[in-house]
Amino acid sequence: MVFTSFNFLIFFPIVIFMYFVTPQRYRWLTLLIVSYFFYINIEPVFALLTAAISLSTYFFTRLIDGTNDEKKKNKYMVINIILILLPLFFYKYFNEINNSIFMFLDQFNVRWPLPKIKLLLPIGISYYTFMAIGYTIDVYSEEIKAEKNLGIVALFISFFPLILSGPIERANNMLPQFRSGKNPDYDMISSGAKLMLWGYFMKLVVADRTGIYINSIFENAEFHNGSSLIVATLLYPIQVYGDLGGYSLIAIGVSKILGINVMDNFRRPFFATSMSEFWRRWHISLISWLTDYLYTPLTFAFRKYKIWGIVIALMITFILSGLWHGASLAFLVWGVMQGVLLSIEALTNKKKLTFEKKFNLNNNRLYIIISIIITYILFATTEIFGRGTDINEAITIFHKMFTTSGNIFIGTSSIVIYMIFGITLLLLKDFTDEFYPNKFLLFESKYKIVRIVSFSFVFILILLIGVLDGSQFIYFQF
Amino acid sequence: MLKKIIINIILIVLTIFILDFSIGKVLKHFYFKAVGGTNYEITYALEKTKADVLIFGSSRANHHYIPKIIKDSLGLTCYNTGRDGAVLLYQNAVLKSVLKRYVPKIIILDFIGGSDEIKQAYDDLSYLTPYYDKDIDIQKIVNLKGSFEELKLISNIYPYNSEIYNIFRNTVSNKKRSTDNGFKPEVGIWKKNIDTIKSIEPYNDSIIISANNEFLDLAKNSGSKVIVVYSPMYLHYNQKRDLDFMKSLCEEKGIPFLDYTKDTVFLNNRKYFKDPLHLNHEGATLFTNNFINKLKDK
Repeated sequence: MVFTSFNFLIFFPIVIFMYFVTPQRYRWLTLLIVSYFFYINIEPVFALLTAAISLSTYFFTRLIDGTNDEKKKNKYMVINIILILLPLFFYKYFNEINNSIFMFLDQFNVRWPLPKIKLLLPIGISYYTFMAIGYTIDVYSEEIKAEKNLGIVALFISFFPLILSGPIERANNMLPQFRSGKNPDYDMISSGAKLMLWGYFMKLVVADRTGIYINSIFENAEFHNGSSLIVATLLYPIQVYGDLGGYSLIAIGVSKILGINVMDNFRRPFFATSMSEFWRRWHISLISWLTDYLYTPLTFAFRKYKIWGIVIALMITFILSGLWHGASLAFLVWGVMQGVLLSIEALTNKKKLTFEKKFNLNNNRLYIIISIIITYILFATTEIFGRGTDINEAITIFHKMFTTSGNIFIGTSSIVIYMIFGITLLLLKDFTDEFYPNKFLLFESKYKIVRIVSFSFVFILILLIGVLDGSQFIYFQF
Repeated sequence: MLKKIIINIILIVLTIFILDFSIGKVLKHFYFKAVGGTNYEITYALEKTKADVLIFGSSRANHHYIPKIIKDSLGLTCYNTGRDGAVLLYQNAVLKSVLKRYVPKIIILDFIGGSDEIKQAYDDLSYLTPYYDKDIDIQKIVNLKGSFEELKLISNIYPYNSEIYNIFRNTVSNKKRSTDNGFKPEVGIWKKNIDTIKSIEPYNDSIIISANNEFLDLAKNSGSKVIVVYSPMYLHYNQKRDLDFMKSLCEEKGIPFLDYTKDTVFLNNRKYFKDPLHLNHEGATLFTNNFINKLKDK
């Protein structure tokens, strides 16, 4: 069951009813039951994994909390992190490592192949693994006390709106909310419903429609010219934004309706004027997790190297971020590219600031527009390697972009028209939210009629031009 | 708070209902008012054609069989109901609608039966949603799309999802019906070398398999002359189990089966292809003429 399936539209109202008829102090239990039901519906055996990770995390965080001996604390934390990471490594990296070793052995004819075990990656494993690790570290560093209720820890790891693709939440935000089970106020419910609707628009109208066009180019890259590949490359970030951004908004909206506040995951990323700013707006929950639990400790560890310490920390963080997406050479290259771009920014930051100050560029519209365009193009280019494809395919696309020319592929004109319409609406909304935050309000208008009509209009638009065949979300693969 | 929420929900549902009803009715009006364009070809196949020879199949059928050549050679009227991506479930719906009106003299099924086609078979039932309330057999077939299809079709807009542009274009341009009787020629020449495919597996979905059987039984029992064709591909393959499956099924039912996948006239000439799966106009002309000669022998 995914958010875009009709089953979910039946499941969710039932959940709301069950949640609010449950006495406040037991609401966590209702959420735990429906979360497991939700996950079991995808693949029953996956629920065993979340249960095991919950048990291990509960047990070791209690041990960490129960001792003052720093060595023991450290030992318990390390053991739990290793235990939590084992399934992730096994499912995500086993086949890749296997293949590499087999290829090596094949060269010397010293391999006796047996039938392969086909491993199905448990959806969401990368997300709940990070949440469990974050919680363990938070307890270790005494940011929070260990939760005494196993059910609430299990709920934190399996909470159904977040389990498949995040946002990667923190225990200090979620655990108190689960414990209290408080009623949402009217504003929370209303804003949750609006976020859900806009999330559906982003996914069904923008991401899935753009996906049809892009896939017809990327999946037949050998037959397309450079112009078409450039267009597909430039559109891909918008597809991902619609896909993961849309998913995140639905997840945040669903949580809000249940009275639970979840962190934002995207903040109008395509209006960033530099790569570092871009990464403060894109997949925020992942980047803030990596910043807190990896980048900051690394910069501290490498502080003696000054600015080069930051460069080392950036490179390690983004290489690991690439490998978090998948164990492939293409993702490694993606991570290196991000690290290099951010390092260049870090190294030239002072000069850039001086330059901007000297020519008073901070409020110069043309400078801002050019910076936004350059940032977008840089990110879109790196995403050729971040699509989850083979490195050779990515290189072929990259090469063809600059070596072949011709007319841009159009395909089915209705698809292109719906796609342009959806993208324009999305970017227009982001533009007004970014530059005119209190003007052109539709969902948040002070007039009820405007609010109701705009909500209904978006709903009708989804019915008219959304892709309604129950497609999957790109980030489930990670 | 509850009262406020309920009032707002009622207002929103009411607004959506009014918009859905009025926009849906407008779309329906213009959809069925069209006298040309792709949508009209579906309406024509389902509700109007009385051709002696009917071609069924996916895009391969649509681009491979030229009704004009068939008419000139056999002296029988011909209509090509083939449609991009439409596989067996769609074809069953068309055949059932046709047989309610008349019995064609010849039914030709261009078969492609790989397991890869299954998702497409269900997705392409969207072509039939505008006709949902017109025919009980179409209703039954469209309901195969998913458990909640009946519920979704309460909406007046849903049957026309993603069709607004085509409806608008056909209305504004006042597009007339093409004279090709359903056939759409492909333009262009394939420039790559021939590929080899390891294997094409047959359907592995019980609904599709029974739809396959049902199509052949319905066509045969109607009294029409039925023939199944695997038209040319610019591909070599090591194993073609979908073809073997259909061949044995046709043998069992006493239906002639023509296999063009090893025909060297096509395998050695990429100039007849637009892409490995589709003949271009020149290829389609050659193929239709060749096919008619074989048909006369059957």
